[in-house]
Amino acid sequence: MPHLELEQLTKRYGDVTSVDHISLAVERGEFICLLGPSGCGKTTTLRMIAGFLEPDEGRIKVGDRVVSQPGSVVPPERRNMGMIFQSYAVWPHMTVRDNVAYGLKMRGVESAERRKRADAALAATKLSELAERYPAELSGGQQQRVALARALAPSPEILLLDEPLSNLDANLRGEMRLEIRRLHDQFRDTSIYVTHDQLEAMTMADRIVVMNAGRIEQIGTPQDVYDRPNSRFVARFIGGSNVIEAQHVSGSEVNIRGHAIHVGQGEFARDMGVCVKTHDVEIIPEGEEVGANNVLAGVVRSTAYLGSHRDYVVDIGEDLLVAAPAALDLAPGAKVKVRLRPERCRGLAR
Amino acid sequence: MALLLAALVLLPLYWLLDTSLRDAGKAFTLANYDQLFHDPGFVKPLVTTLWTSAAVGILCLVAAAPMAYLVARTDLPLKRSFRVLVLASFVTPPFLGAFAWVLLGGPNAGILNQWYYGLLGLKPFEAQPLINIFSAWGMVFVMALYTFPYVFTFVANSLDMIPSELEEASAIFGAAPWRTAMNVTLPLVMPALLAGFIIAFLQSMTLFGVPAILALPAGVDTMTTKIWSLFQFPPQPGLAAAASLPLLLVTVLLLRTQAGIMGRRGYSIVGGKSTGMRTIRLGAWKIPALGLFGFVLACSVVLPYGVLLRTAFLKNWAAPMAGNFSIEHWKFVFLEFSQTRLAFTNTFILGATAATAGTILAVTIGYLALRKLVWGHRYLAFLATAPVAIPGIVLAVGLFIAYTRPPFVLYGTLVIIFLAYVTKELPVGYQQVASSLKAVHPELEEAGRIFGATRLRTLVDITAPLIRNGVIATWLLIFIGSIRELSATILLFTAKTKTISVTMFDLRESNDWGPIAVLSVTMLAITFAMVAAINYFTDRRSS
Amino acid sequence: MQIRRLAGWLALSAALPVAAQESTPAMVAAAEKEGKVVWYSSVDVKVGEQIAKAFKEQYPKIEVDVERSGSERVLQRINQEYQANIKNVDVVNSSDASHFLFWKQQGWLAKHTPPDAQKFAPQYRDPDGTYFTWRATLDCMAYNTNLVKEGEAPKSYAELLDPKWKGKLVKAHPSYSGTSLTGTYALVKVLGWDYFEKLSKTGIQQLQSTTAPPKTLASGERAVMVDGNEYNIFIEMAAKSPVRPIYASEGTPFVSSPTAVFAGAPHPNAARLFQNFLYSAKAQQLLVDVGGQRSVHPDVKEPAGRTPLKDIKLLPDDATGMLPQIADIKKKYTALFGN
Repeated sequence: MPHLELEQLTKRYGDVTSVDHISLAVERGEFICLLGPSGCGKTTTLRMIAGFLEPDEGRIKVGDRVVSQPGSVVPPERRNMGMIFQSYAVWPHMTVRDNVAYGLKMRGVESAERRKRADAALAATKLSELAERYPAELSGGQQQRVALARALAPSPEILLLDEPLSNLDANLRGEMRLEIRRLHDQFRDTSIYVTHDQLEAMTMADRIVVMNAGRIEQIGTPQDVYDRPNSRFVARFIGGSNVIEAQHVSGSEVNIRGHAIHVGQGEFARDMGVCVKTHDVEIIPEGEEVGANNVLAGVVRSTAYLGSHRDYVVDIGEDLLVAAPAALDLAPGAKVKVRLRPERCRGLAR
Repeated sequence: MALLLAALVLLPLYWLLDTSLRDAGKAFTLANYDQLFHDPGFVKPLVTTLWTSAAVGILCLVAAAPMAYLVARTDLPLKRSFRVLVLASFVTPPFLGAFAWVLLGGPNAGILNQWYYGLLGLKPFEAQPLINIFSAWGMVFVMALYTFPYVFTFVANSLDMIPSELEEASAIFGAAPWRTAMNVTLPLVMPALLAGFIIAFLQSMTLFGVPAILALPAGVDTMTTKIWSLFQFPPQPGLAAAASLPLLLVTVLLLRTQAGIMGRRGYSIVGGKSTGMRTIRLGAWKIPALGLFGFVLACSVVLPYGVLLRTAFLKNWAAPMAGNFSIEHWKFVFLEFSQTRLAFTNTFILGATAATAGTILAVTIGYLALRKLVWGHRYLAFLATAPVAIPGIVLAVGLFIAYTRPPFVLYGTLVIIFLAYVTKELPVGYQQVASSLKAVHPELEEAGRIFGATRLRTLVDITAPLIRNGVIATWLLIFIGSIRELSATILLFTAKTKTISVTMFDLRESNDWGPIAVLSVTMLAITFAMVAAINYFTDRRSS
Repeated sequence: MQIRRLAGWLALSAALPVAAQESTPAMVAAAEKEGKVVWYSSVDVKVGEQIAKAFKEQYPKIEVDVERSGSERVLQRINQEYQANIKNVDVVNSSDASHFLFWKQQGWLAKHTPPDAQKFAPQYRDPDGTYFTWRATLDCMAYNTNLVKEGEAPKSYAELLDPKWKGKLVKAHPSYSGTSLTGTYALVKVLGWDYFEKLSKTGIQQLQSTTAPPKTLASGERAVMVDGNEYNIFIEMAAKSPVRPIYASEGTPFVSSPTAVFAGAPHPNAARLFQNFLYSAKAQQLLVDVGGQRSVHPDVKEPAGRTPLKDIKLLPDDATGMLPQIADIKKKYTALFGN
């Protein structure tokens, strides 16, 4: 049985359907990421799982127990979940230790046991030395950890995380990503993590749920979603992809700007997209030998040196983003050919 | 500018201190203070003032804090109407409320008691009345009715500022709503509760009208009525000054305590954006909640306004309404009473000039201080808000002493009252201007200057239009504050410089309730017109 | 010889009563130019306004500014203003005759005898011609006829100490009211401070001006008035309020209330014109009929329904005797009854 299940979950605000018939089954111990742009409904979904919002349609089940349905919602305090808020929501009038111990206190854990478990959580998040401080005396990153420790101390079965890293600077973010994943592995709770940052999703999730305009676009492992996006939206959102408009001719052949291109995988439709990764596009400078298959002509528009590789924008009638080896150094205006490896082209019907 | 401010604020205080240390022959003496602390005629009022002010503070907390919580956190119905009524309570001059409560709560003729007797078939004088408003507790009750809005506003604003996530976090970790309220919400609004208590305490401490109307007839004196009595001829300025100082000291002490408490523990909330409030469902608790609001607002606004309107149109206010209807009081006040014209003229001249001068001062100081344009700009800001620490009657004593001696003999003119009003209302005006200016980012002005405008030009073209609404609101606020002022005016006025509030107070001396009611209704009507104007001008937010 | 004749004339003129100053047309014209008279008075505000109205009907070009306060406040205001060199008041009326002694001593009062005042009995006239009894009233007891049956009404001050009157009494304050001050002085002589001490324990509603207790009585807020203006009682009775005066067996204080013109009056002619009007038979009759006052003008008739003065045991007022005791009376009273 899935640990957490969303069935046709729907939430409306006036005329706007914020969450549109979402269905999802989460296994125990999984780390699920709800990924999407702002307004896609991911936070609303999370808040329904937490019990702060009542669904208009559909159900939420934990194990075999229905916790949310229209007209009947188990209040948050009785769901035995943990949550980390975007603003950390660390209580400024309590010490770090009191913050961390709060969940245990509310569940009636005895004082000695409470202290033990709180200390364990503090140790796990490397906050033991700061236990007696007040939040105002801590840095952003440290407060983030307090929120983490607090959420983990009561050993919740389900942990909800609402964009917890968006307020941290880039370095800290990298560190905390690893930290959160590590703690998840250590405690083995079921985690639902909301973010708009695909890098976070890619590095942390067991499965990613890509959402757009209230609907689920695709569910899959990071590799699934990255290598085999099912729609233009997912391809673009997940990053590192070009999506070129094409028309299906027959079989695996499509027409891109009058050229015949072979697409090795994916779905086909009359008007479709072709997804090809930036590093799967080869640039051949003018004058060099190139085959005739899957080749388009273009002009270099701009270039950026990134140390490990060079980014090019090549105009083939539309802009193509190419990640090329650093050694290849072409100036803007140079005429080039680009080759799309057929097995690396993916058809997108949506 | 700083010198001007200093003169305005500090000069009266200096003379106050000086006079308190001198006897009638101007020789240095501590006799005044000696009498202050040993003469029961002084000690008793001091004690009374302290305990009644504390009682008011507590009463306000007990009523207003739950009210604020209900409005900010629950699905209480009729919220908008309640907020409007609280505002009405806020702008009602407390002495007006006292007048109304005499008509409502006089133990034998008060309307409420009459109903009570009628309902239970009791006879006045033989039975215990439902309420006897002529008592120290009656005074406490009425003072609380018109100071609770301060506490309400503080607490409601503070609740609004707590991000919902702090309470949601508590819920998610297992706390039922009432535990969240105790563990999280309450500690976070504690500073606001404390601030509210202190403000309520200070407000009641400096009121004159309510004690004079309700406590004096029962033989209970407070410091303000005592100081006033010291001004009966021949005035004893030394004693009056000495009696004023405890009030001043208490005020300064409490304000400092409040600042100290607010400063610790960094109660500014940390972290990012919040996602909107979760309202608590009241269910069956709606009834008692509505009851609380109903009771408080009925006592503060509905009943008093009702009884004043009623009295204004009845020949004999204590008799039943049948056959009693009359507009004779209106005729008297507006056609026959020779004081009316003068009182209205004085009041409006004073209100308008104080508002204009106060606004100009506030804007100038505000601009200089917030944009840090002059050396000592911090002192400017301090001086502009300092008068809040000086009770109105103390200010009046100081002004009286300062300006009834050469070179500036202003006593008997409107100027001395004007000075009192400007000094007293400046802090409020300054706060309003400061918040308007703060909303104008300095970069907006810097942009103007980059494009070639001088500082003055920038002020005129860019800043002024952006703070226009705030400035108008300031003017109106000072105007309202001035027209209802009593505790300072009562010491500084003479026959030619009477105001409406003083006139009403005088009419009370001869129990002329009909004309009092007429003037009350008129004053309230004017005040509400002004408030509507303020709302109009501050509803459209700029930038 | 001529000098002796002159001296004779001077001696004769000194023995004659001070000549009255009539309202000559010249005075009227000058008064109209001044345009206004400022009158500080402790008479009930509505009565005062009616007198003012009558004056204005006769002299439409002259405004009357009626500044009403309790007598003690009138004294304070005038003294405070004069101390600050503010000369605002033209004519003053107060129910505390001792005030006039004080003002006369300061040299602030003008010598002006209204023609009608010449007819008054000597005890109602200042020998130096600066002030005259303008109105008189009794600082009497009274009761509310709805709350107290006629037979049960107290007949003496002593009866008020009976526990059945506890919490039902209302009274004025000598620190604010000249009438009450005069009354208190007179009653202390007859009843002693002992009586007042006992009275202070009966839960009296303590008001300030003597114009107030009659209204409290009329509203039914209290049942019996210990002291208050008889004239206000008459006014209430005329308005059909359920009140009636009581003339105590120990005696009822008589309070004469003089009026005077100030030497430093800003509108000297209007002041004198007004003063003359105040003492005219017309104004006096108005005072009596509408204002419930008692008048010492020989031509004025007492309306029906009022007990004539000769039938009441009166405690006459004594300004000179009272003057040195004023501070003491106020202090003792305040100590017993509060402010």
